[in-house]
Amino acid sequence: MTARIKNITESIFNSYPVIFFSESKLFAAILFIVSFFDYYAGLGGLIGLLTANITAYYLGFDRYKIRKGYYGFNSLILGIGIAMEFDQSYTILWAVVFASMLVLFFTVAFEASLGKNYLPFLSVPFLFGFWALQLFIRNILQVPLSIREINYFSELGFVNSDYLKYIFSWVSSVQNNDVIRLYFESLSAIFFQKSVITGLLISLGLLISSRISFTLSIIGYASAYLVLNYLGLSIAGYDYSFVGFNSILFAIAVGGYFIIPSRSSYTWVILLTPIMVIVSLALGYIFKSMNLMIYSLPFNFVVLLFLYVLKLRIFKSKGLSETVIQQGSPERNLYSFLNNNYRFKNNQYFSLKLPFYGQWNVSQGHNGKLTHKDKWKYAWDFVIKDNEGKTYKDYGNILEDYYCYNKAVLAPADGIVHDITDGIPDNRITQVNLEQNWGNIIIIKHSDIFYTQLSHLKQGSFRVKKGEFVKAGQIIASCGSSGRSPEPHLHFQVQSTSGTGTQTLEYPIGHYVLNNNGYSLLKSFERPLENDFISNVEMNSLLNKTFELKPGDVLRFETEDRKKKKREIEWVVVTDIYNYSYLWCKKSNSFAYFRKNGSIFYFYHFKGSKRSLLYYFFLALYKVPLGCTNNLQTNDSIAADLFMNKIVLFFQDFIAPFKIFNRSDFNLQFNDGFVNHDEIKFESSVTNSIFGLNIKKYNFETTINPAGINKFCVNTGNKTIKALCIEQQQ
Amino acid sequence: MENYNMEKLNFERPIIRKINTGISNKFGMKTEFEPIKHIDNVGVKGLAAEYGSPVFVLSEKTMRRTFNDAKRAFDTRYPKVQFSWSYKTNYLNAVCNVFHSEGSWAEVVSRFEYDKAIANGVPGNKIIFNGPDKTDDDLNTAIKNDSFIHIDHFDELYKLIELAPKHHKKPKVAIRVNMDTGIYPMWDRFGFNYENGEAWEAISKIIISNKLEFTGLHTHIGTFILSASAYAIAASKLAELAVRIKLKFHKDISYIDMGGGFASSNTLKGSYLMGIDTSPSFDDYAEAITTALINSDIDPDNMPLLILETGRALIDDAGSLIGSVVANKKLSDGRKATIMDFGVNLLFTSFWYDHKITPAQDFSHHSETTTLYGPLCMNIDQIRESISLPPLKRGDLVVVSKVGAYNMTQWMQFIMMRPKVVLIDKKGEVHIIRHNETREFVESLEEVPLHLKKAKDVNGNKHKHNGKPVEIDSKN
Repeated sequence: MTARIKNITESIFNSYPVIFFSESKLFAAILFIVSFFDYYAGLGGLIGLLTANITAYYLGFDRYKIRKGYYGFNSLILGIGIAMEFDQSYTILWAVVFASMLVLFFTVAFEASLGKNYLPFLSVPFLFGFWALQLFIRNILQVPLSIREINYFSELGFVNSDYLKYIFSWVSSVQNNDVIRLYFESLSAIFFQKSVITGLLISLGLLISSRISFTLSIIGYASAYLVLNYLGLSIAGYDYSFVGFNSILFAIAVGGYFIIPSRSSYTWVILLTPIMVIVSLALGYIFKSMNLMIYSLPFNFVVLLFLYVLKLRIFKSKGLSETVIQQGSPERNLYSFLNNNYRFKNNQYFSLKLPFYGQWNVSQGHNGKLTHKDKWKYAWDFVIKDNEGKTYKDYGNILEDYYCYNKAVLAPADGIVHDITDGIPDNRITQVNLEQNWGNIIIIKHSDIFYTQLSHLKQGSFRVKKGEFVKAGQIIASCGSSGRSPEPHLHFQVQSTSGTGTQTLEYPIGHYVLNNNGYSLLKSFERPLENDFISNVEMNSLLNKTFELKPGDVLRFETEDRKKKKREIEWVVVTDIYNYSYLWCKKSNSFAYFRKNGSIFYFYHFKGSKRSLLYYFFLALYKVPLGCTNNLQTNDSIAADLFMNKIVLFFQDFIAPFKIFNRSDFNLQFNDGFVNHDEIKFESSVTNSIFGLNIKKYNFETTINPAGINKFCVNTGNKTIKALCIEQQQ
Repeated sequence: MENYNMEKLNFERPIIRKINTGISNKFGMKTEFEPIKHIDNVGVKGLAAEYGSPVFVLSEKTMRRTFNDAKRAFDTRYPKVQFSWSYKTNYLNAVCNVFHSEGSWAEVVSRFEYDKAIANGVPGNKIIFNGPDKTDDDLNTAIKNDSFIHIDHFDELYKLIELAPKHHKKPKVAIRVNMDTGIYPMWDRFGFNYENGEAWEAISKIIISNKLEFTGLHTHIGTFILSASAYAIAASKLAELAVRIKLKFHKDISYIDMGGGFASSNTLKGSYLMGIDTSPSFDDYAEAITTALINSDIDPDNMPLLILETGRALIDDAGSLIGSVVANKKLSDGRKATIMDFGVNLLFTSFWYDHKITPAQDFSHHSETTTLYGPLCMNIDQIRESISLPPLKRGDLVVVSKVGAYNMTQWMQFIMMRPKVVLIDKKGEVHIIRHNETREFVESLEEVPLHLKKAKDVNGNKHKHNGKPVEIDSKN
């Protein structure tokens, strides 16, 4: 029952800030109150919104979207608009009920039709509903237009306080300043009001919910003001009064919400404002002839047009990126975009393994000096080197002296042996066979357009046959020195066609360990460089088993704080219909999205309470290699809004599209190889720093045993939490 | 003008030798080898002068290089490899710590070695406890520390099952398996036999008892094994056991320990060819073992960790013994003999090897056959019955190469005291890692009963006992 009430409340309140592309609860409260500044309009809006939501619910539309307010907000504006425009009467309210249903149908229809092109329906449904109802009321019901003026202060009657007097006098002074007054009035016009106080509250709500939206509202408004000013027109003029709020909504939509906020998106807001003005004026004239007003039509028109144009691009410029996963706030979109870009920029479908055991050296990388040029530039040559940097023992005058000679060559990924060339003898040292330059080769087909080729293999060393299925890591042949190979080495390349030595494809190696200068670093989807010492991440069965989280698994923790107070916390592993897996804490309604990709376990998103244990868990195990070598370091970066101090974040938000001045780094270190141990213990930390200065650091310690995650401790500097896993059901 | 300080040419006494002309024959060519004047660029003469003669010299550089050669040979052939330093081969702490710093665990065969490993900072769960004699206390300690206990016999197995319930965890155990790998002699006194089914019986008992955590299989087929293929047979047999365990008990074992026994490049007594030509390389052993494991029926996704307890092959090359000539002699039958200042007391391995012994100063290409004796006044003290060396004189230095394994653990304090052991580090700096013994050190453990004290004490002088003067009854 409580859940139902919560859902209903949510569905009502969420509809308000959606108008400003926000999900903020505080903003919702402000807008709700603002809408009731004219109680009749507030009631009209509420009726419209409830009608739409109830209809949507009973017709069986997506509960999630109803709860998010997506189906209600158009009817909400319609209700407010109609109630404001006409004199108070029950007939009007009845008309609102039916018009709201109509708007909902428009919403659904536009959602489907525009959705096919991945476009939002914005307030298009409202426009159609509103025009229809306007014409109907005006011409059939003939209700007179309202002549109400709202005077909040006399009505609300609490002007006696000195503090409010101060605000009041400030508001009056603002009212004398055209530019600022019109900004606030433009904002209030979205709720069909013309009031500085309303505008002030809305702009405050905007600031609370999103610094980027707030900044954009000013940029949008200012650009429109300047353009009109240049044309010798006034934004205050009746015909142009729509330009103000259209520009504001447009700026937020294009500058921050549907496009990742950036220098370019801000520039485009300014560049598109003249277009916005032209469209507004042009449409204004056309609609005037029908005795209709354009309301938010210019905003809808330009935003949809521009977004559609962007979708049709062939080359996606770096600055202007569309929001792929809408997280409901420009900041969240931006921070996760930057973070994902940093973390998963190179992630590819195939996670290639290195085709050998142990540590090898890249003797020639991409764009190598010797042979990796032109069409064949994305290839690697691998050899084995000793501590002195030699590739051979003794004199190095026979093949057998070379460390890599006759060593096993492994399949880099699952696939089918597409072709094998054998029978080319291994050269004597320093001699090359330029006739059959690839030597003995194997080409493995991983998909129709994805092949790997390994060359210079030892004659007669193939362990597989053409057409055979091979598993990643399976031994397929031995390293040799056939073809153009003066000394034994392994040539490895990725290609999109099946022929021998066709054009190479730039493709990263999935996860590997870089062992340069005495420390080991985990690399994910990167390209090993020339002279790198690299090895595969060899799976640790205990780690692998522990992070094998399947839907339905339950993790139950018992925490103990400093006062020895005990608490029990339960998480469930869920995999949703989109195949996203996450840990869900019911109590705090928090979600930690994770993925297990080959030899890596990582979290990629968190939403919910930042005071929950799940949040700490998300930070502690942000990225865990499932195989360990001594001193293996894992570094990663956490999205700014997921770890930063709230006050710092507030300021960061303003300039985030231009400059990120702080970073949150994740570090995990294995101090041991943990081979064959039934307890694995490691430390991790997340550090937030501004210009290299550490301002916040959390330390974590995790213990894993055969029963799963055994224990994890959090130290945030001022508090310590110990969480003991009392159950890991698998 | 520079002052050329010409060193006086070395005098070699003249020898008479039959000329062998023509092409080389079964007596071989004339001796052509170089003196060893430096070890890791540190002068041998200087070492002897500073640290005395004889002195053991260990090269850290060689140790680390050899270790990395071995590690590379296995790492690049098999996904999971772990070395475990065999303490008995050389348990000088400095040596152990070189290998631990390279990532080796500890393999010990007694409580003494076990405690040494713990004192060296090796975590309990990185110690493999082998050996036939483990007391109840040893086992309890090993269980407490999560060490891997390799069971040698059924009595130990029963004892462990008896001790286990007192601990709140299952002791981690493996069994040592002995088997026929086609070599002679077959070592069957350690562990449980594979062919007669005892190994399987032990495994079943462990798993069915449910009191012990069965972690792995261990074998140690012998020592100085000159045939890599024997390891292939051993690895296959262990792999078969692993597969059978999986089939019957649905359990993946976590490791296969192939023990040690890899030959160093020393030449065994009585062998016709030089050890350097006949001993298999790490690559040969690695190829045999890893190929056998990879080709076995073990599930490729759950390949066990491969543990190696190689000792001798890792340290032998890094050790040298510098000694000097005490005297030259002529024996009754006319053979030449040379007495050195080191004997079987220090060079225990001379019972097995024909060591490479090289003078440390320039010599001519003439050589003669001589017998090398040690300094002990004891007939057994013969280092080599017959060796071809250039004529040496009293005080000349020689370097015995490849003596790093077993000598510094099996040496004996007999007649003479043990000399210094020094380590040349990677930068060429020399560190004493074991001081020479002194009489006080040797006697420090001794107790002399009162009535056997020195004669002058007995004759009337006051003697202190526990700090108090004691009246001595001189009537007797």
